[in-house]
Amino acid sequence: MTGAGGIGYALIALGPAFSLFVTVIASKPFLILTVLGSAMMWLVSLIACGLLWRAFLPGAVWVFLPLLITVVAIQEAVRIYYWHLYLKIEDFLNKLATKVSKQQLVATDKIQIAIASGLGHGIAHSVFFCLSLLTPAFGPATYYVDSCVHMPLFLVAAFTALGFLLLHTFSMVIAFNALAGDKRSHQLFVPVMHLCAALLTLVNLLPGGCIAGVPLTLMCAVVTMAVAGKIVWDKTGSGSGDLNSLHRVHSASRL
Amino acid sequence: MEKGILEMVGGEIIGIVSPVSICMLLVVLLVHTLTPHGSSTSVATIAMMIYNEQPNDSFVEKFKGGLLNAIVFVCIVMLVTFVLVGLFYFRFTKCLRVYMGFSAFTVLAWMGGIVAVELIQFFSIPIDIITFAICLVNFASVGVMAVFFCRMPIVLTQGYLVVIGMLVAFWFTKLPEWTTWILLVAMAIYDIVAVLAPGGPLNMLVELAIARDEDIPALIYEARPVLPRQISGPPPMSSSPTPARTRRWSNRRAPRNPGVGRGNSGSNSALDNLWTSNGQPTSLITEPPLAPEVGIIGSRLVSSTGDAGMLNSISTVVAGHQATESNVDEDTVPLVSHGTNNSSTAAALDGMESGMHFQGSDQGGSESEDEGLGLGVSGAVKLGLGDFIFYSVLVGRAAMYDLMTVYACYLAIIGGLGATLILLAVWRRALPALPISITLGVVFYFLTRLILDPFVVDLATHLIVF
Repeated sequence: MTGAGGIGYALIALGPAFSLFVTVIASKPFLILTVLGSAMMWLVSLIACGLLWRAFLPGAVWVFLPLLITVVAIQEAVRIYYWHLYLKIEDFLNKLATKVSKQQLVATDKIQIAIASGLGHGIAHSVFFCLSLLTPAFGPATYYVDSCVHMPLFLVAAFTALGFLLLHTFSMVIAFNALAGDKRSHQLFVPVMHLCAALLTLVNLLPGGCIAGVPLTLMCAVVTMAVAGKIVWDKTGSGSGDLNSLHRVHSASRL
Repeated sequence: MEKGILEMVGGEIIGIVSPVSICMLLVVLLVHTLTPHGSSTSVATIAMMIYNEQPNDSFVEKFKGGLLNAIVFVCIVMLVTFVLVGLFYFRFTKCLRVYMGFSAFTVLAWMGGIVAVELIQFFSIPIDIITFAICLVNFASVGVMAVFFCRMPIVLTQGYLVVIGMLVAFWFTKLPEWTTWILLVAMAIYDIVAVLAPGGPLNMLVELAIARDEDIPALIYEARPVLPRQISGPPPMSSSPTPARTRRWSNRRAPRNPGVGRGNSGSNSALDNLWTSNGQPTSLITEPPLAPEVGIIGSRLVSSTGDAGMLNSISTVVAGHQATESNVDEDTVPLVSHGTNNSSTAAALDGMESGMHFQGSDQGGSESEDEGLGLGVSGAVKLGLGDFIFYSVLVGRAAMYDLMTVYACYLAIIGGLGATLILLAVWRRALPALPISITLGVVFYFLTRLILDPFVVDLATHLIVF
């Protein structure tokens, strides 16, 4: 519904990503490249999923359940592969740092790279699932789907995209930390959370389901954010300016 | 706090990715506003000499027609590039220079004027013809001066180059669909041959420029200003004690002549060898008045030990992976590569060639660190304008289908560009910038259009997300 509506929807879906980008990522070129790289990898995984399931859509409603399960499995597998790539890049960066006599990667650097990677996934998700649908939203009217007469399609898409953006971003932080420290519980947390969030969107299929679906998605995002926040808080020590904690961080990263 | 490694790596790549992204964004905006479903009037260009595509032709006919168009186009581009090489060889610099200025003016005034009129009509902007004419002529004149590398803020020069690329790309998006796609693929193939094969015109141009130590006149986008070179006196290396990290303004911008013409013209980016003895810009690329335009594409990655030398260091680290004991350190890296500069694509009047070239820092063996520093520290990554144009044509054509294809093609092109830059750092020779990006872009376009679009739209309208 007109330009203001369209821009509003776009900002709902991408506003936090934009502010994260400007504050954390924009000053470091390497992180910008990380965002672009991980966005591209997400896109490739999405195309792979599409190739797999294209023949079945548009189809019966029950198709969505196996579709979601396989798709989440593919994306989590891509996340593990991305982690292995990240290890190689980390190695490379450390060598480069030694060469130009700079500091090796510290814990905050690694967290920033994890945020950037997650943000790449999240932005790609938002762009493809929300922004590309928003072109009609700039026109004079709006659109409601049958199963959701309470909110326009664009609003539901925007909120869901926001939820998944936050989910992707912070689950990457959790995943990097878990895979590095080999913590089983956190390693399982990420795929399980992703699957839960995806399956909860199935609620939207019920008539009037979007009233429950959207808040549930956002709640998953909040839970993920809380877990990631706790991890980062623990990792950087309870005081970030503390000399001891910096030492701890250094030695932890050297291990 | 000391700057970490993350701040240093990748600056040059971002310096090139940003203007490419801006150019693509501008073209997508133009296409989306003015011709969202393709141009209604057919445009007579060289690219459509043989076959004029009609909407109701059969599949086979369109394909054959498009193929013929593309082959003719590539042949004309090749011819013009050879003419250019010839002119450069016989040192017709004035001729080339005049031609370049003329084509820059033509693009900015004529094509810019047409686009401006269409925009004025679309948005119903109240403006009278006299004001419009004055503004247009001034705009075009400043643009010509900018690409001739007069002293002006580098942002202005870069901005004008991006605008020239945008206008030419918008013009190219008016071609019919099949012709556009086949043309893109044909240009990518031609690019590989022209730059890498020993007899290719761009290769010859590069070698000529290296042998003579001259710059090739071309339209090149330069990401950062290079070090000012003293025209007379000691070798133009920065003897000034500026720290390695600062940007330096360059005085001696080499021939950045716009190689625009109607159609394709490839211009070569001059191997910007800061060591060249003659200070003035040399040959200019001329274009035939009716030639299609094209920018020159050439990219050059200059190694340096300074801030801009990250890529240099990266390349040595990469080399280090392969050879366990590489004795290459930053000082000797320049010596390892021969002192050829990177080449830019020759501006064929009709062709756009892209080349990326990695410039070894210098030619002498006895460079002191300062000299290596000076040459290298120019830190400029150069990309020929033809690359800008063809990337934007691809994205503009994708915009005519849907915005989802635009995003997918954008990511593909940037990925390809990044891969090419990395290859540049590793191989250190002239490389064509088109093939990887165009291939990825075309593949992603068709995958998105045929597979992803229905998939995502179906999921989204059921409000299922993952």
